[in-house]
Amino acid sequence: MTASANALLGTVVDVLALLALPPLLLGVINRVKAIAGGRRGQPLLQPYHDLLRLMRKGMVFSETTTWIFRAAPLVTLVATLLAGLLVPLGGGAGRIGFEGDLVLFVYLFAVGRFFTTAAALDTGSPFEGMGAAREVTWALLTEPAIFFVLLSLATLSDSLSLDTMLLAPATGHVATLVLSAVGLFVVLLVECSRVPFDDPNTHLELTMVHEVMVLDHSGPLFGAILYGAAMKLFILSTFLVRLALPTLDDPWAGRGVALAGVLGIAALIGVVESATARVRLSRVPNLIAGAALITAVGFLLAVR
Amino acid sequence: MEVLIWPLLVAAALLFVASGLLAARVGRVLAVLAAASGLVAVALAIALGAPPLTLSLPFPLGRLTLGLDPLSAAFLLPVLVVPALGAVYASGYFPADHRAARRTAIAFGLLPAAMIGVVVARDAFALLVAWELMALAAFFAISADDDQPAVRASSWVYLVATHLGTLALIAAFAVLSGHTGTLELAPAAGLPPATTAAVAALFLVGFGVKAGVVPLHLWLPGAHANAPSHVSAVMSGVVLKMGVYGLLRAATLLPDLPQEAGATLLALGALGAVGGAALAAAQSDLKRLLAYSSVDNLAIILMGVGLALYGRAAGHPDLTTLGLAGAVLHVWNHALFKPLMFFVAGSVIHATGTRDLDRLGGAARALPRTARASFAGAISLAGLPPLNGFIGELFIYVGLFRAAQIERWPALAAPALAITGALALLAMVKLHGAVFLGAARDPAHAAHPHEPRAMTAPMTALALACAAAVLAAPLYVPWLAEVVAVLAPGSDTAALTAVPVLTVSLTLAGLAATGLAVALAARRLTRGRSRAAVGTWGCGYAAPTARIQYTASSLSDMATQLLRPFTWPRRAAPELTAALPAPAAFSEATPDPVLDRLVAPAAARAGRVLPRLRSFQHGRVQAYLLYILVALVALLLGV
Repeated sequence: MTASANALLGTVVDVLALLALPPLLLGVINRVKAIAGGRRGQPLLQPYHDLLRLMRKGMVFSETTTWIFRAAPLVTLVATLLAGLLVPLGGGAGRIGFEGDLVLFVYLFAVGRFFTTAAALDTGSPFEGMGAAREVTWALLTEPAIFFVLLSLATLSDSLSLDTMLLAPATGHVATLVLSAVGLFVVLLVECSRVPFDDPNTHLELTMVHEVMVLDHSGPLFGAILYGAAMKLFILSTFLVRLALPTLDDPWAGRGVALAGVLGIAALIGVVESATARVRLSRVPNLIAGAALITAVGFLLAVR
Repeated sequence: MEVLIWPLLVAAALLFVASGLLAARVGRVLAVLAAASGLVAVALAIALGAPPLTLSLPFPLGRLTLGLDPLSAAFLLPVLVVPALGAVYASGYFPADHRAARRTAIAFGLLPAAMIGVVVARDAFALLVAWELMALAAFFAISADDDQPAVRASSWVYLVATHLGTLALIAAFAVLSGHTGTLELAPAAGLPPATTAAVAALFLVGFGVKAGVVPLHLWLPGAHANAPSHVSAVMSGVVLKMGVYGLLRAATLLPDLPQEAGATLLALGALGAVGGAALAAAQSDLKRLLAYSSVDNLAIILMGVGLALYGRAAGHPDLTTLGLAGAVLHVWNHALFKPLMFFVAGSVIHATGTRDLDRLGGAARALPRTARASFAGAISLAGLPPLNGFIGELFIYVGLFRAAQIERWPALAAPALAITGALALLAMVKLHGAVFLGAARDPAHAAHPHEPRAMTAPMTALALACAAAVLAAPLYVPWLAEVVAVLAPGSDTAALTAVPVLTVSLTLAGLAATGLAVALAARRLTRGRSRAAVGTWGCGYAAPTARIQYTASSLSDMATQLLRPFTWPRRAAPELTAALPAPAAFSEATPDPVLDRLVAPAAARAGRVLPRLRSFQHGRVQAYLLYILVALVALLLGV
């Protein structure tokens, strides 16, 4: 096989993994939590069944809502997908990366946030407004944390493209990488609404963040939201794995290591969720600010 | 063809003046003609290069020099376009029987003419005359509703602030011409470092007042909030940019500016961006929110300018190129989406009778066109892909990351810009959500359907321009190299191609197209499966009212509290102690930290303390003689 065909096949596999694997991560998290709780747990592929079931259902729309409510889940999904295409799973090249695409990466998630919160306000529900307020406030702290990680990577790899940044071997800066990875893991927990910041399984609307913003969505559109959220988890996990694990010369081996790492992160999230309780809402900003400071220290170590 | 440039530009200025003198329906045609005439002149100047024009005028004016280089051309575009759209909007928005209709229209027509003068003036005297004319025209335009005390107060604050700025400019040009011996605006190399620093500081104060550089922004929120909306649009979209133009022009006069100057601007920009965005997110007045958002956007532009000046002094041409390109792009983009949002604000005020975000809601039903325009403007203003706000910020981000790779410390501005972006998103979700989504929170201010063509057409034009600016980016971004050449002659502009604008543009267009295609496909696939005639689910609560909705203030309260060092809110929260507490009230407001919490209290205290000195001035000549004697003795003893 020629090198270019190999690269093309690699890109195809990357995109297929991005499309097919996200719900599996939710299955892994659930299974780890079940085992830790002494239960057998739902089947590993249950999230796929849930999504298919939602796709077959009808939808109910509140008469308060406008087109924004209907467009938001799909726009969020498309923006998330595009962000996923910017993060290399295995070998680089072949996708849409460009110099400066790291800014686009962060801002695509912001597009999702804008539409999700706007759709929440579109319903006029006080609960959804509450969730929107939390979502936009926490982003004030997670975005600088992500930017400190990106700054560290940019200075270490001397590049401004995620493809190069995440695949360049960063030797001799273990401290920076560890601190960035720790900070980024916290950001991942916040952005993907996991315990201790948000609990996707809670039954009380007052305490939710992401789930409460999508209370009024139903059927296929709700499925799109769940799928998009799982995809975001997959993308941020890939980012974290690429940051933390050494790059291998063989892109296929690298791909395998990355996928194993992503599943490992899902298992780690399951462990975290089993071991910790939700923190009080008023303490959440302190925790995220702590993570942002950790990434800032990582950056300072990188440029010292 | 070059001979046509100056006549066309002068015709544009005269047509703008004439547009203010005639009735609004005629005036708007003249304003559009003025813009067209000016745009042809700018296009000719860009294509052919404009010869400088020197006129010898009779005393007291003397010799007058005009010029139109790429830097002037870049700033002429918003100067021409926004006021013309403003005039069209005003013909539907501003009542012809308003008590100050005539004065406002005249001032509104003079404003762009004066700004054309500012941008093409090539000697200090002409610049100062045009500058003062612009400042006064703006004063009369923003004080249209001067029967209201709030409008009078903010207009006076503006007048005082702008004249303090002009004073600094006169001082700056006096010092500069004292060294160079000429009033012409030409690069003055070889100044002593102390003089350069002094002149640069004076320019920063003089132009910074107009550009809303924190903490000199204190006049800006009140003036924007209390002016008629078409005036706010021009103030925010164009007049503030004259401050940026001034700073850039001043930088061309001082080629020896040290890199500390760029660093100062970058730091002030980062502070102003976060502070302005935090204050914008905290406001519950529609137009004050937009005004603070202008502080934030101008600060982002300032970051670009600072990066460019830093790069010029430190010998990093790619920082100069990326910073200046980002600044100019953001000047243009802000001139599209901010007037759009002020037009939206005007329409909302007309249709609801209030600008209090906590009383609005659900206006999308009565004002569908306005709501669509507002949504596009909000996305663009928050700097989100795929609209134009993203492009300028992308250049500044890339510049900051490059700076981080070279020099380390400017890196800290990138997370500041990230916080600014998150805050801008919060402010825009709040604005659009509180005004157009949900249901009306106060039935007395539910929106009436009122969307005359004269008001929707400028909004639609600007919203479409926000999209077109992204698609056309590969066409105009390479031209920015010529603007860079004005600021840093001979500088290498290869960095302009470092950001592959074509790829970015196509990616963003692809994002928009994919989103649209997915939405249409989903609509087809799920047709007949939806039910629309139900209420929002209230989590089991059986009697929901519109008043239980989250208000705009609640939405931003967490962020306001988190950013207390910037927002400094005034909060009156009752303390609940007993099991059955008495009725209590809660209130929160975020006045301007500089004006309302520092300057105004200090001025009030001075007003209380200083009158005591009046007891020395009582008109008794004997006592005055005694003062003279005391002063003489003190002097003799002292010397």
